[in-house]
Amino acid sequence: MPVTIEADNIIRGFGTGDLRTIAVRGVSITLEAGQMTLLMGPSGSGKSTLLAILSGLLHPDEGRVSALDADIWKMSDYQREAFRRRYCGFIFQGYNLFPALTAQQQLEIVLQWGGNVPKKQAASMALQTLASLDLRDKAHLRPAELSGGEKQRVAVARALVKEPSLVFADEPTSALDWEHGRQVVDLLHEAAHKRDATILVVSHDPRLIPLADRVLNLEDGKLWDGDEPTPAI
Amino acid sequence: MQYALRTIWFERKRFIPGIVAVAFSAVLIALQTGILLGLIGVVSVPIVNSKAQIWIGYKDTLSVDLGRPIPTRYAEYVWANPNIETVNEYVQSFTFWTTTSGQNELAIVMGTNVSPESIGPVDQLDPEELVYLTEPGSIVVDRNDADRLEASELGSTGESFGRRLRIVGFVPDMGSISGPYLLCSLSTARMILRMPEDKTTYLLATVKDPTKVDQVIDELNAAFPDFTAFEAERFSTRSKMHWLTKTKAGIAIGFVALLGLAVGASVTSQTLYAATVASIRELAVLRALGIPGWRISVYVLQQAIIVGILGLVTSGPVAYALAQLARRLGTHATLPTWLITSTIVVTLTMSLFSGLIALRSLKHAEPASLLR
Repeated sequence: MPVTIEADNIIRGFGTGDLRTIAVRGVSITLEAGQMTLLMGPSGSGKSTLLAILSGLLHPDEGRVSALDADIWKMSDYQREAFRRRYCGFIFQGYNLFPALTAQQQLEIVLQWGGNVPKKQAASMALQTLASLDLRDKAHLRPAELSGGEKQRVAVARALVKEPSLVFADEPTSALDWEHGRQVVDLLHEAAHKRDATILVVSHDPRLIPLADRVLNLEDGKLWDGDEPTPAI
Repeated sequence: MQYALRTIWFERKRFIPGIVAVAFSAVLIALQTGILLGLIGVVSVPIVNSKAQIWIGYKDTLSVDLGRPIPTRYAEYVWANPNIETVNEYVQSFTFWTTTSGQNELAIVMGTNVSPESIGPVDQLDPEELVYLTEPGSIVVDRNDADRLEASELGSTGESFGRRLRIVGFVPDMGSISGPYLLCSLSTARMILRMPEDKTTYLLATVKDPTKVDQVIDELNAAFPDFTAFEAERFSTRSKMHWLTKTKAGIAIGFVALLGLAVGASVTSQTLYAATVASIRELAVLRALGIPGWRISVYVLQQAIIVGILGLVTSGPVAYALAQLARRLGTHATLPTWLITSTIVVTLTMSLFSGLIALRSLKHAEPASLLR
C-alpha cells in the first residue's frame, strides 16, 4: 500500500532551560493507506505529541513531516488548515459534541462550515455515515440522550463524514468500557480497509493490539516497532 | 444561523442574562429619551394645537415661550402678501396664578382669537368653550393642572396680579413643564399681562396655497428683517431643541444612553464569552477538522445578533407598558419612529460589539489542547 505519511527525525520538547523536557526524540515513521496503526505507550511517553505533529496540529522543533506528498510544516497556517479540512479526521478522548445539536447536526456542521456543502446534501451524507456506524435511529438525539459508546461513535462519524484520507484518534476508547471501546476500534479498522484511509490510533490499552494492522511502541519519546522487544527504561 | 439559534434555545438559561441586559438597555434608552422628548415637547403645545402655518415673532426668537412683543400693525404688512389667507394675533407670556389659598404658581398665558375661524391654539376646544372664552376673565386649563391651580371644578377661580380669573373648561393635552397654560381670549390675556392693544407676541398666518408656505416665509423675512417668520413645524422643533440644549437635557440623555449601553454591553459580552468558553472544546474539534476561524467567529457574532434581537423583542412590550404607566402618572413619553429605529440600531450595534469582545475567548479553541 502507498505510504501516506512519512516523518523523518522528529524532535519536540516543552519548556526552556533546566525545565525543558523532550517529549519526542528523533522519531522517524511511515504510515500507509488502508492500515490502522496503533501507537502504544505509557502515559507521558510522547504519543499524543507525536500524533499532534503528524496531523499538523503541533509544530515540531526539528524534523520533517510529509503527508500525501506535501511537507505540512512548510505550509502556511492557512494552507495547513485547508489541508486538514480536506484530508484529515480527528477523534479525541472526550466526545466533545455540541450539547444543543442532534447527532445528525454534529456531522452536518462539519460539512456545511468546512465544505460549504448544501443543507440537503449535508443531511443526506450525515445520515449515510451515521447509518454505516449503526446510528441511523439515533440521528435525532442530542448527546445527553446518547450512551457513552453512542457518543463516541457519533464522534467517529463526525471524523469520517467528509471521507478523510487520514484519521487521527487520540485515546478514543479511554472513556468507554471494553465492549464499546472494541466497537469503536472495529469501526476505525473497517474505515481503513473499506475506504483505504490511513488511521493512526494512540492508546495505552494493550487489548487493542490484536485489532490493529500494525503496532508501534513509543517510550520516553523513542519509537520501537511492535515486532521488536520493548527496551527496559 | 440555525446552529447559533439552536444553541441559544437549548442553552437559554445561559443566554437569558444577555437577553435581559439588551432589553434593559433598549428600554432605558428609548423610554428615558421618550420621556424627555415628551417633557420638552410640551414647550410647543401652542404650535401643535394651532392651525397656523406661519409664526411671525421677534427677530430670531429662540423658542415659542420666549417671544417678545411686536407691533400689531405689522399684521397689515403680512396681509399685504397676496398669498396670505388669514392673520391672527397671539399673545403669550409668563404670569403668576394666585390660588384661593393664596399660593402663587408660575403660569403661561395663551391669549388667542376665540372666534370659530381662529387659527390660534384652540384645536382642543369645542364651540361652546370658545363662546365662554369671549367673556373677560375666562380661561381653559389642562385637566392635570387642576390640582396645582387649586381649581378642580368648572367655575373655580383664582387671581393673576389682582385680576380675577374663572375656569370655563378643561382640556386633556395642554400640559406644561414650567407652569400651567392659561388659554384665554386676546382681551383677557392683555388684561392679565397689561399688554397694550398695539402689541402682540406673535402673528399667526395661513396661506391660500399650502405649497407656497416656504415662499411666503422667504418673502416676509426678506421684506422685514426686524422680525422672523417661521414655518410652524420648524418653529416647534426649534423650540424643543432650544430647551434640549439650554437645559443640558441632551447631555443627560447622552449619559443615560451611555449608562444603558455600558451595562448592556458588559453583561451581554460576558454572557457570550461564558457561552463560547463552555463550548470551547467542541469548537477546538472543529478547528482541528480545518473549519476556518472566521467561520467560528461568525457563529459567535450570530449568537450576539440573535441575543440582540430577542432582547429588543422583549423590550417592546415592556417599553410600551412603561410608557402607558408614565402617561397615567401625567408624564407623556414620546416614542416616535425615529427614536424606535435609533434604539434598534444602537442596541443591535451594542450586541454586535459585545460579540466582538467575546471573540477573544476563541483564542482558547486550540486543537492541540484536546490531546492528553
